[in-house]
Amino acid sequence: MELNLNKLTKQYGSKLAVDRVTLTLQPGLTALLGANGSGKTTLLRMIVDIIKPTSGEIFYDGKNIMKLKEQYLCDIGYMPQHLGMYPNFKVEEFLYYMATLKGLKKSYAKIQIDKLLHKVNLEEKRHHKIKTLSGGMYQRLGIAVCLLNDPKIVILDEPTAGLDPKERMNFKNLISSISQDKIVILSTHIVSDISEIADRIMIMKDGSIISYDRPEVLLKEMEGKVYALTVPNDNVVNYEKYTIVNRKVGREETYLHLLSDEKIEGATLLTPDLNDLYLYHFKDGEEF
Amino acid sequence: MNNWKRKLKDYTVPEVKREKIESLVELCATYLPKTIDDRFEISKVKQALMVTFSGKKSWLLLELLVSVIFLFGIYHIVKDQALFFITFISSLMTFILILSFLQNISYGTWEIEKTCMISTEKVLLYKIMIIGLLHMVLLFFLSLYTFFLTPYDFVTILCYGFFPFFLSFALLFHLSIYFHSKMLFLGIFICVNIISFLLISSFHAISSIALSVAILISSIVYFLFSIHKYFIKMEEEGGCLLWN
Repeated sequence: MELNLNKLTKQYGSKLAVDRVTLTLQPGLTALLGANGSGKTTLLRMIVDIIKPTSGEIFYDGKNIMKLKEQYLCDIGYMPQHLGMYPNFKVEEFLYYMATLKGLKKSYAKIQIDKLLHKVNLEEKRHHKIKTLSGGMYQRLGIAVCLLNDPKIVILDEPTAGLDPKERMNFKNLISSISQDKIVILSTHIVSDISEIADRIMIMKDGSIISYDRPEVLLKEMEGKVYALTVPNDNVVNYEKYTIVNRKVGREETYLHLLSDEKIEGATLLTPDLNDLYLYHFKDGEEF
Repeated sequence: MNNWKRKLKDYTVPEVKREKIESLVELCATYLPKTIDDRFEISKVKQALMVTFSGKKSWLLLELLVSVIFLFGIYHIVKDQALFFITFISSLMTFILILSFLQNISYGTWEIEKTCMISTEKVLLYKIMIIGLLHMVLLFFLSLYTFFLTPYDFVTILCYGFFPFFLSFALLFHLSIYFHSKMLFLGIFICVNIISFLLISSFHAISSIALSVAILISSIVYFLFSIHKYFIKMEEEGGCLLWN
């Protein structure tokens, strides 16, 4: 199973939202990292065929998705960034409604709904109205909707936005458990969401993919660029030309965690993590 | 030998946990052949019916309630103003239909609906076809009832009953190409009523069947034209609902 994006481009007027993205996606969890406005949502919307690319093509197992149409949609599960569900529908009622739209047979829908409500731990809320669900439950219901048709390609656009740390951890485990035999693309700008679970990381900046590889490979490229040192408080200003990942101010001294392409005298080299990787690519004052 | 027998006697069959069975079934299921036919409904007619009648059906109740009000009203109160009344009731019923169509506006559900096999456009088409047909059957019977109670000829009644239906949909599709407002359909309801009343008032005196038919045909043509234009625009914009 393979999804190939070939020179995928989307232009809105004079703004180039996605610029000639070419890559191959395989089963496993691919994290799409990027700052707000980097083109992540536009790219994902093109993959799920909500918006048409200005140019370029998408191939699913070697076939153009424009020709596959419904056959492609059968294998797609999508959870948008701004997930909207009818608040007055009951949880089960909404799942049946979505199953109908996904064209599922009623017998198959029943099996899937029972299985998924158990999986996302919403069995007790089955007969509750959607408006009574908490933020975490709402997102979990979104995942259940996304997985109703047992899709082979799962696209999640910032699914953890607005969740507390515990819900975020549960969500992370849930996503990890579904990514074994599916192509899962998880878009986020929260690095902790994908640390430990991502098989591949894709970094998007200004509409282009600037990095796409296994986390260990990307982190290896970062080696020798992450430093730590402790300096007197009045000397901190000399280090502000570097990207400061972390600073801990003491009474007389400040601990600095820095990113730099050049060697920093007197500093200790640190093992890079994904947070360093992200900040390294988005150091130019972009929103984090 | 005795030791072996004692062991066998003491042996208890371990209780099989439900979770274990479930995970085993799930594991087996992943190896089963999975074709599109296993999971999906292929019949288009069945699909259309399922989509149309899934979710909230309060519109159906409201339609029936308005019909009852009409039957009561035409019999007891407004026999002389039957054409005005049927026009108003028809546009009210169409307004209820439009509301049922557009329930996904407010909650942004369209984005997940768009990635479904039965996309938003198809849902819209299915609903227009099936609910529209039901609506027309209902209007037909209301017109028939009016015909027996009033002096107007049947074709005229029918035309004034159906005119707001086609005009409302035509205006909705046409205007939503240019305006992305959630208040659009409310405006359309008011517009359709005003236009219908004006037209009926203007031509009431003439009371010609040919004119009634001409009005109806023009609204049907406008309806077909705007729905065609709407879908072309939808395709150009990448299929997003225009009022979102």
